[in-house]
Amino acid sequence: MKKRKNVVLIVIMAAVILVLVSWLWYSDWAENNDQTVISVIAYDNGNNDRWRTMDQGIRQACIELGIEKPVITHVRRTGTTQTSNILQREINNGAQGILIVSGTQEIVDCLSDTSLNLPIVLVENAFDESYPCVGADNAGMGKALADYMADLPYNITVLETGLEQRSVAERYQAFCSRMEELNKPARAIPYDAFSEDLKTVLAAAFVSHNPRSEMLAVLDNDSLEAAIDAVSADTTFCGIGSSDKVVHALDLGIIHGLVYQNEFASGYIGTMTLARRMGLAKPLEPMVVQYRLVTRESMYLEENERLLFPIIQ
Amino acid sequence: MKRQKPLFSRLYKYSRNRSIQKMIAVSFTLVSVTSMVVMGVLLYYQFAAKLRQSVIQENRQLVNQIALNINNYNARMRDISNSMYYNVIKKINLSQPQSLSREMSLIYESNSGSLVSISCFNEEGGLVSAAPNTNLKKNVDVTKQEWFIRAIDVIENPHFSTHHIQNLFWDSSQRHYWVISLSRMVELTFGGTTKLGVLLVDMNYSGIEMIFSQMGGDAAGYVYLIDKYGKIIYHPKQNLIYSGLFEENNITAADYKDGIHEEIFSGEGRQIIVKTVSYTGWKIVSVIPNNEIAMSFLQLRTIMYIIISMTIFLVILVNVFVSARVANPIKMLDQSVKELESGNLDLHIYIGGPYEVEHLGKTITSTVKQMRALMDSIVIEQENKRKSEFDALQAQINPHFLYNTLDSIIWMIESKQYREAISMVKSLASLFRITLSKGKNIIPIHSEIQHAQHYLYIQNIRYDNRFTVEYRIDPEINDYTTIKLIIQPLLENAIYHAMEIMDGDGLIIINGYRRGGDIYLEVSDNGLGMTEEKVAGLLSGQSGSGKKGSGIGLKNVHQRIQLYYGPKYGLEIKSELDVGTTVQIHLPAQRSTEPPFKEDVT
Repeated sequence: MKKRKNVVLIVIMAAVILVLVSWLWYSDWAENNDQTVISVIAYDNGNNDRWRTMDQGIRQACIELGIEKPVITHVRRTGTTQTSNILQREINNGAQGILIVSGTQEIVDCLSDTSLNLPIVLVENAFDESYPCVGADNAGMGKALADYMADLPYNITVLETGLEQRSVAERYQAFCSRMEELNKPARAIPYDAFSEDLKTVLAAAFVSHNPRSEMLAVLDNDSLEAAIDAVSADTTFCGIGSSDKVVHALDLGIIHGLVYQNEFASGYIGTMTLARRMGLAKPLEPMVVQYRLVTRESMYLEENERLLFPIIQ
Repeated sequence: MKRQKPLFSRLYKYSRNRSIQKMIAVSFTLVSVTSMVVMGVLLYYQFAAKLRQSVIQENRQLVNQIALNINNYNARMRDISNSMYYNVIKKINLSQPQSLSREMSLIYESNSGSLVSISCFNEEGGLVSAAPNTNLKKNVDVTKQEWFIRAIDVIENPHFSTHHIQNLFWDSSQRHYWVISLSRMVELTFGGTTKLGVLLVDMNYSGIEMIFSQMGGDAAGYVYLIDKYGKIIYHPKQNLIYSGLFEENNITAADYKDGIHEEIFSGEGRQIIVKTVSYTGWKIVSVIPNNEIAMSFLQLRTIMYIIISMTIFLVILVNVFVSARVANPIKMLDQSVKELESGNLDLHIYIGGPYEVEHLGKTITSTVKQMRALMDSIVIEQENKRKSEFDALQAQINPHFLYNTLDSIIWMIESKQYREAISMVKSLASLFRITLSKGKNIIPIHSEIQHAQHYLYIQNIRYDNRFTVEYRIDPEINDYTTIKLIIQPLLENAIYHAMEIMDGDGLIIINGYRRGGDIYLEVSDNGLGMTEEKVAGLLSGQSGSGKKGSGIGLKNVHQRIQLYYGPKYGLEIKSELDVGTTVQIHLPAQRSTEPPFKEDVT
């Protein structure tokens, strides 16, 4: 009887040792082999300098999370739907979470149709409650720009374009409402970026107006860059954007006032939010994507130049 | 303390009632596990302390190396500035700025990897020369920029700025550069006139970035650079800091002296190593979060826990095995002893196990053997004693003596010698009464003497007064004890072997006295005596009298005395041929518990 007890004891001990060693080996193997993959899909016109800053934010978040640097796919906002193919491709490549930047309603509808089970976070454009969205306060930006422009001795016009992006639509709505409140309603210039030439549109819009007495508000970066190329030297802008070209235009005095958002923070917070939904991070305290209004005079102030010219590491 | 006492008592009581195997296993396990845990904890903390020191030392070396690199970076900037000033500007007449531009471009080209621009301004902020770009922004007032103000304010030394965006020249590529500016007041010679100006060397900030990013490596924590006021020059998370998403304790760090400090920031304990960069007063700050140090050996700690757990298991197993090996032989021996306790003397005592247990088993076996031998010896003694008593009893009712005595009585009655018959009957009755003594074996000496008297009276009548008897008994000994029926057999022998042939002149003397602590009773006769050989054979039972008598014999008496009192006591026979024989009874003086003797008149 005693001999059997000893044998049982030995067997139990051996089993425990085996379990412990196996756990140790597995956790070591899992650590070496378990790589989390997230995918970033950016809808833009291929403007890389703006992406550098957001990319920095995404990379910083990935370093802190200990996950692999994500693959960023740039997709032109051409109006045709490639979303389902792109999403499927990302899933096939092992993506465990997707960050969609500057997406449109069409894209979000496509997400709903495909019934993806992956965690998805939207950056800049919130369409419905199904997907969390990270971005600056678009209405706030529109209002800030309106407040600035209302004090200027100009007639205010606003380029009505890019409203298929919800972020631009919110800015536009807020800008127009604020201008109405300030008794300086802005004249809207409709513009379809896919089918019209901006130069022609602006020329037609200002034909019966003195360009020097007009100040144009452009509420998204791509349109702002297009407007910089399109308008004459007499036209003054204010706008919302942050690319090098836009900042250069600010420095040159072409853009009178610029509202810019912290693209680095958008990328960082967007990635951390996605990580939380993937279970890789603890719940975050509320983080805000800042925006500021800068002028040619204030752009080189310390607090502005840090965000306007983020250090690319 | 009071509460602990019952606990200790309970523990002590519990431990006392446990088997030896469990006691050994539990105590060994407790000692081993406690020792291992204590040693493991001590070693762990020692190792942790060493590892912490090692991490801190590694970071310290890193910080020193970074300081060296930054010093080199700053020195290179100063060298460029000095070279530009002393080798070029001082030697050139700036009435012809082309030569300055050429030299400036040469210096720029040879350092273009780390420079953004070199430029020289006059005291009013007008551009004198610059390389590579001379397209100064029209809306920029140089005199309001910090590098210019500091160079003008303190003219002796070059001044290092913190990093900032260069806001001087138009760049057709629309790029903006982060730079660190080194500015100094210079003397510009225009023809024969000397005017003050400012020489500006803008180093590419990426040089600083590269120093830190290359040196980071596998060191724990992170390293950042601040100026003497605590303003961050480089931080691996500076974009997060500027975005308000991360906080750093840089302002406090500016007050730390060079060395190692401990701080708690945002609820986290950290080790801070500070090193000041000479000339600029910048500080290199290394931050090592305590939990990062802990994490660095988390796996090792886990392995240590596993090893300790496995070792504890092994120790328990070994202890159980060893305790069984030690305790099982003891248990088997204990089982043997229990069987012994229950009275089984014929069992086989377990002999085995460790040397001490085996020796114990052998000793117990030997003891049991001795016990058996002793018990057998006691049994034999008891048997002999009983046999002797039985013989005595038998003798007490020896039919021949009785028959003869009764015959004598009958004859006396028939001869109408009633008085003699009555006396004889009385003596016979007294004789048997003393013989029985209510079943006692130890009687007072006076009773034994009375027994002898009655016996001799009967025998004297039977033998027709062929002998006389003298009693020389010291009254002192009457109240001492003796075993019964020891004198009568001696008298019987004396009568049958000595008095039978006497013709009235036979004499039997009964002596009784005390000498020392012993009692001596002697029966002497004046018979024919015996040879020494016959005397020697009497007590061994080899003499074989062959004559009728009580049948007990001298040997019987001798044995009974020795059985009861020990070998020191018994009979001693002295005989001389033709003189007579004396048989001496040697007894210990033991007082009787009965009332003192009063002389009984027969």
